[in-house]
Amino acid sequence: MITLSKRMTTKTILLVEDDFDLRDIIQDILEDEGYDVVPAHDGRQALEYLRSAADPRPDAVVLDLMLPHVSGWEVLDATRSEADLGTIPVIVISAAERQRPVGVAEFFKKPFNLERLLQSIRERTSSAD
Amino acid sequence: MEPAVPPQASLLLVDDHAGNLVTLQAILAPLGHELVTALSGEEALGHLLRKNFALILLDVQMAGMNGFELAAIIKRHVPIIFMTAVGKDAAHVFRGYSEGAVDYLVKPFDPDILRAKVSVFVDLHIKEQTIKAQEHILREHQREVLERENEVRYRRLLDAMPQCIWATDATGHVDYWNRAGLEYCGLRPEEVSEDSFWEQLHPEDRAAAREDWERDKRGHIPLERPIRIRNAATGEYRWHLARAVPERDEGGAITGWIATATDIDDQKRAEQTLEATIALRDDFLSVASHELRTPLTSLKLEAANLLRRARRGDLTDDRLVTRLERIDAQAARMHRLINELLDVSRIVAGRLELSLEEVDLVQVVGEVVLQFKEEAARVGCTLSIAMPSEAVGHWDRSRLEQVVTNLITNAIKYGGGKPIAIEVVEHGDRIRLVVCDHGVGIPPEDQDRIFDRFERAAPTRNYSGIGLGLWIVKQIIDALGGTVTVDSIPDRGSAFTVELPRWNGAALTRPPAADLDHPRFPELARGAARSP
Repeated sequence: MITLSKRMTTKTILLVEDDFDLRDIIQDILEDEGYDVVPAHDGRQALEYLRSAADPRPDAVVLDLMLPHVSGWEVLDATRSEADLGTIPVIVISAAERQRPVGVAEFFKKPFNLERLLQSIRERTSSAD
Repeated sequence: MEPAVPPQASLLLVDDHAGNLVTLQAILAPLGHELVTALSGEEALGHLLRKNFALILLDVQMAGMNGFELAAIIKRHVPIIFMTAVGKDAAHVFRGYSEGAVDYLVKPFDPDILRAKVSVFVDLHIKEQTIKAQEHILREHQREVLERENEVRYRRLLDAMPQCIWATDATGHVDYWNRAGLEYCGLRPEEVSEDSFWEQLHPEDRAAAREDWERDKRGHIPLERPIRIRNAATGEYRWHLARAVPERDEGGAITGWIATATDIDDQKRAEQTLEATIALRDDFLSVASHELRTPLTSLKLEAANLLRRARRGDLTDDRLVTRLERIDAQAARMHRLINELLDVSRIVAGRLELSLEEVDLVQVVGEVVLQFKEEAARVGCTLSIAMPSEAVGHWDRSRLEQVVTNLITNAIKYGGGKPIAIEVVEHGDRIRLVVCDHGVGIPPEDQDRIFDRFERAAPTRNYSGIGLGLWIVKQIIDALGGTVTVDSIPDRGSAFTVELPRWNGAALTRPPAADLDHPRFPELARGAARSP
């Protein structure tokens, strides 16, 4: 996991997606848009990062639901139940589900529109300022 | 004059003078017949209604109803001898005969003549009765014979039918099995009992069918139900459609039931196969659409991103080429996936055909490595190989290539950006191929499942993407007579091992290609020369 040097206005996105190609592309695009991206391959890595209270704390999580080891559903459960995690907006990208699960800020079904995803991330992370 | 043992007949004597009746009785007593007297026509009728008389002796001149009137009522059912004191003038006599008299007697009677005439008519009557009785017996007999013939025909008919047929008594207990039923269940007539029938049914059907029967037979309506019955010859259960219809007598009461069982096993199995096929197809479509979404998403994102930048005039050469390469790679990935889906569908339909020839695995691996060298290097998964100069066997070249490609692309995908090692080893008649990555690894609980085909019943947590490829690999290697296994430690890496026999007799579909250099000595062809 890469930790870039933090600037005050730089937002950090925790990107949880097990497909390598897809994760790479999303990371690439988000970094070009000026975000810091912390990539995670599965739910276990995601929860590890979230619970470690490591720097930087993510301003948003982009989460796939179908993950090996620990699924996106379990990550959602954790963000809902663990107090300090509940404030982080979660944006779900998923191939399987049809509608927005409970406790999720926004939901995109694959394949989704890039502009709308970027818009959503912008909105969800701007309130933190 | 008296017969030896005269049979008893009944005679009716009608005269309105009691004295005459007494005289008649006295004269006829020696004949030994029953003598019934009546003093009037009406009284005579009363007797006639209650008894069967052989002969009536009837006085013509009676007060009230006279003899002729009575005769008219009797209407020749019983022979009548008219007795008269009046002279036998022709008209009188004629009327008598026309009213049904068989004879005339004039008083005073000669006792012998009277007795003789009575005897004649009584004999006649008795003979008539005997004939009637015999006729009756004959008719009864004929009816019985007919019934038995019908019964025989009925049974023959039931025995000629291919269906199993049972008959029950009015309470529903089985008391007859036709030939087909006995044969199908492997029973002899003497072995059959009430429970025999139920014992032939499949255990799972037995209780429910019996319950339904007990309940529905009281409703007196025909029943229909599919059940499984054990075929004695093969020991297996076959589906039958059982029907039971009540038999009724003329009054409408149930005298029993006839039950038939028609073999519907083929149809039932076809139905089940169809259902399974439809379920499989639905699963397949669901998995296919799901699997294609991810590479499609990558491709779309990449293209959308390029579009944004192009619109902003922000495309620089260095990133452009990389991005376009990635789009190309995603399209290729989708193409591979679609081919895999078609493969799965073909394999499941039993249409995996192998065309075997001499194949050098080392050569195949070399080609695939070359194809993916750059892509691998790009992500840090540099490919390293350790192989002998050649490893030849009798395999399907393109399918083998598919296996190697699949293993290598998986290793790159899940390789975690670390180097991948590929090894080929010869062990006499067997060749081993190992593809080893140092990436994310596979959780132990998933290691058995990764070679399984998709299943909709699988939990929502799935090891996405790997789904089909490894199943196909397993099918191909199995068909070639080999084995494929995985060793993996999460976060450390995975090693996939394929073991193949060089020659698999069972998988042979074409004879080995003869070496063109030695047309007359095929045993000198390359393959044979290489045997250890």
